[in-house]
Amino acid sequence: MKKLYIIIVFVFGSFATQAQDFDLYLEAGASDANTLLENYFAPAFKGFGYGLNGGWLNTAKPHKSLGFDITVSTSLARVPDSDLLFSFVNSDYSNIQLRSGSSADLPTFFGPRTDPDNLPELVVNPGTTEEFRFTAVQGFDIEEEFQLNAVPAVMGQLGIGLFKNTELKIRWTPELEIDDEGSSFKLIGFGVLHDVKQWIPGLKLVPIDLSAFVGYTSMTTEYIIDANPSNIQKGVFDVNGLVIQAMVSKQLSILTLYGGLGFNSSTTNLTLQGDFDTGTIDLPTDPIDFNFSTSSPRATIGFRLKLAILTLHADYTLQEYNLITAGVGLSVR
Amino acid sequence: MKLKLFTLLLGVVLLAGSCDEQEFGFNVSKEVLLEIPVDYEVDEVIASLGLNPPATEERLVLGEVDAFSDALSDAQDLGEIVLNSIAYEITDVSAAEETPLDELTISVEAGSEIIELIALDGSLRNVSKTNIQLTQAQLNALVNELSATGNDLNTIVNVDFQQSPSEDIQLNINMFFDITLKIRQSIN
Repeated sequence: MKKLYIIIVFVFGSFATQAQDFDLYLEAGASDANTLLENYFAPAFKGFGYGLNGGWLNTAKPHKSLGFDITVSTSLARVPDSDLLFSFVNSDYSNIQLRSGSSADLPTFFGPRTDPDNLPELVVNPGTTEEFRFTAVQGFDIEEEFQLNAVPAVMGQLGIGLFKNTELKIRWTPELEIDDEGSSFKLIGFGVLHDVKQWIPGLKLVPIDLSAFVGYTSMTTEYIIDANPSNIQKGVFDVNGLVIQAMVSKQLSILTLYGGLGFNSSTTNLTLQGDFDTGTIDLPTDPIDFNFSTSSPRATIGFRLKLAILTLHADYTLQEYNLITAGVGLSVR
Repeated sequence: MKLKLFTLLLGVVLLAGSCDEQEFGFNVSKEVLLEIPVDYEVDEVIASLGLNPPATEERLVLGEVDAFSDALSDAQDLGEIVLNSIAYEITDVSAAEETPLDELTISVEAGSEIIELIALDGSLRNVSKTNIQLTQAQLNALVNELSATGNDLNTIVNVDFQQSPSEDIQLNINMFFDITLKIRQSIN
């Protein structure tokens, strides 16, 4: 059986450094495995969802007609301390129970790398001949490794000025094959930035820019685990993000200060598709199906430097997972 | 114990990119059941004379402990095997078979040491699952013996009745080995 860690690597490829064998969870059945793994990986998926919504804007001023920019941004969504552990409650599981007690706080993927001898033991298939125990999975202590508990996301986009102080932003890649097995990646996103100041009587003379923005991003990655035509095994990672935001900015020579208030949400779905065999129990087809949803108000503050057509920007967004974003671009008109 | 389980346990995976050497790992434990059937055949002559029968000593190999064999075959470079405890129970003794004992013992050879696991006196009887009190040194010696002998335990079963039973006796001694495999892997 191909290992689930492949999926983990595939999802977190750029920053995951190690992975354990999570097949053990599947021994408890698909439902419990889903619940347990969902809790374990929740911060990573939520962080990625928040990161996907970052990097859209670095000014409230839309391009003039046919003006454009090409911008690349990197966002880091900080995992809050409250998500370093998750609460394991016996009643949430059918085939996994704590060996002692009815609930315990266990590490998430971003949580502490506690010595296994000091972690609670989980009993799988209790009271059956297939019963066995394993210690809760350690966290990867990302903060110790990278000095920051954060999920990175990199975005590239094109902004084009249209009409009536309206700008269209496009994030897009063709469907890219990422290996010989047929694994693929594709991204598409659209955003519209519109100057609302022009529609508010009396506000036109105020020396700031004021706009409204809505942006949507969709990213899908398919990783082929086994391309055997009789049983294609693959992992599919699908993320969708939506941002609605009011932006204000003020340009001071080469410096633009900007800020925004808004709302963002994301849905993340990871599925393991195909037939998998643990050797002990029968798993349903497509045994893993994780779903994560996030939604949070957001407040952003940042700055942009424009040197001829080169732009550099950085901002900080307050939300459930605070976001640091920095980027570079080329901007004309 | 399914072989697959311990195969899966050994899947600690190394991925590139870590800055420092770190140790990751987890423990997996299972209580392994071994069934030892004991057949005692009545010596008709001794029985007819009502004599105290001599002790019957039988040396046998306590069946292959699959959990050990699975784990040992792959785990030696990845981790450590710990024998946490051993328990036993005696079943299938009927009321008619509850014969007075001088003693019933089961011992195992661990290197040069013989470790007594079970010592029963009084009457032969059913015994519910009971932990066997062993020192950590004795537990370690058993693990070493299992490692050294390809997972078999040379076992001495000694049955000594005060008087000969009237009929042959069949009983089962179930032994429970609680084993932990500690997987540890340093990752660069």
